Amino acid sequence: MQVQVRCYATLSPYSPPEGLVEMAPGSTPRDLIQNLGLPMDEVKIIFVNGKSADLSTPLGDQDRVGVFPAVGGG
Amino acid sequence: MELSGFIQDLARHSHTLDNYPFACILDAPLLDLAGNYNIQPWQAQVKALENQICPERYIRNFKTISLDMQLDLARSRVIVVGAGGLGGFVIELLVRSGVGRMTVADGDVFELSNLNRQLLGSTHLVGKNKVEAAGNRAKDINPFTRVKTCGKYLQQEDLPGLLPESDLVLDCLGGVEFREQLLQAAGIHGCPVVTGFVAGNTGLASTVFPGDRTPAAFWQAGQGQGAEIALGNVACTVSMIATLQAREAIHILTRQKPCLRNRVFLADMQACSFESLEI
Repeated sequence: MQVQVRCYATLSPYSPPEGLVEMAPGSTPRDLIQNLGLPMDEVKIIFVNGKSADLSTPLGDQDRVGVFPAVGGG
Repeated sequence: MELSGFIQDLARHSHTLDNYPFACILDAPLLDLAGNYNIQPWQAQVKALENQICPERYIRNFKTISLDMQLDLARSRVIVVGAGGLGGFVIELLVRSGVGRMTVADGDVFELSNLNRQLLGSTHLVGKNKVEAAGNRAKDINPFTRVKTCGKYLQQEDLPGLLPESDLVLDCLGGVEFREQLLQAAGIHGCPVVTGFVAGNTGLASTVFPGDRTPAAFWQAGQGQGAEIALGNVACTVSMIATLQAREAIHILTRQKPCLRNRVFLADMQACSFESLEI
């Protein structure tokens, strides 16, 4: 299955080319983070299809995933 | 306070304008009247609006902000925590819009590296207090907003004295530190918070009423570990998020439905894409 991914702020260099990743069916955000080589301790919050999700939520084909580090500037 | 004469004087000094269904008054007579009757300008503004007399400076708000909403703003009390990037724009927008009373807290002074984005900063203010600049700017823009300044970084123990006299908190802090404590203390005092947080091209804003879900997961990092340390902050992202914060504040203060409760607004200024995410 294919997942759309966008990583934000300091994590943006980990965004995949064209924003797309091939994943095995049943993969979770945790699998995705490992697949992209994202530093797990820097990932603070994940959104799947516009909703906050936990690391073990199963992903579906064409799901949209947003990955954020800590952000606090003002 | 004997104000019957004040109200008669208000009517005498007001005038009508074509196409507006209420009377208007210029700044100078309203300020003079406040002085004559020994009331503060913000109180004079409330009295004018209660009597269907609009300070002429707000007439272009109408009909987006009705006279009743203008009165809500005139009566409102907000606290802006942080007078840096977000705070500078938030203060500007809320003072122009007609918020009656504002407390601004920040212990910082301007540095040259602030001037890329901080509206209150300017070349000649490097080394000067941010809250002092905020007070002066507010006075220049709108003499009917009473601004109190608190020239220190707020600590937990400062909050019980400040929050009960506020209708709304604008969290314009810089850095991940203290944001969650501010949110918790505001919740205890029944005070809603509109928070903004940015790093580089990524900007986020959220509204939290007591008991709502919060965006605190974004702030789970040690001191100085937010993405803004590595990426810096730029004017376009900061002003975009501050604008959203001010918009939410005006909606809350005028008893309209805020848009960002249990949600976080995401501005991706790299892709020029905007999204409201559910938290």
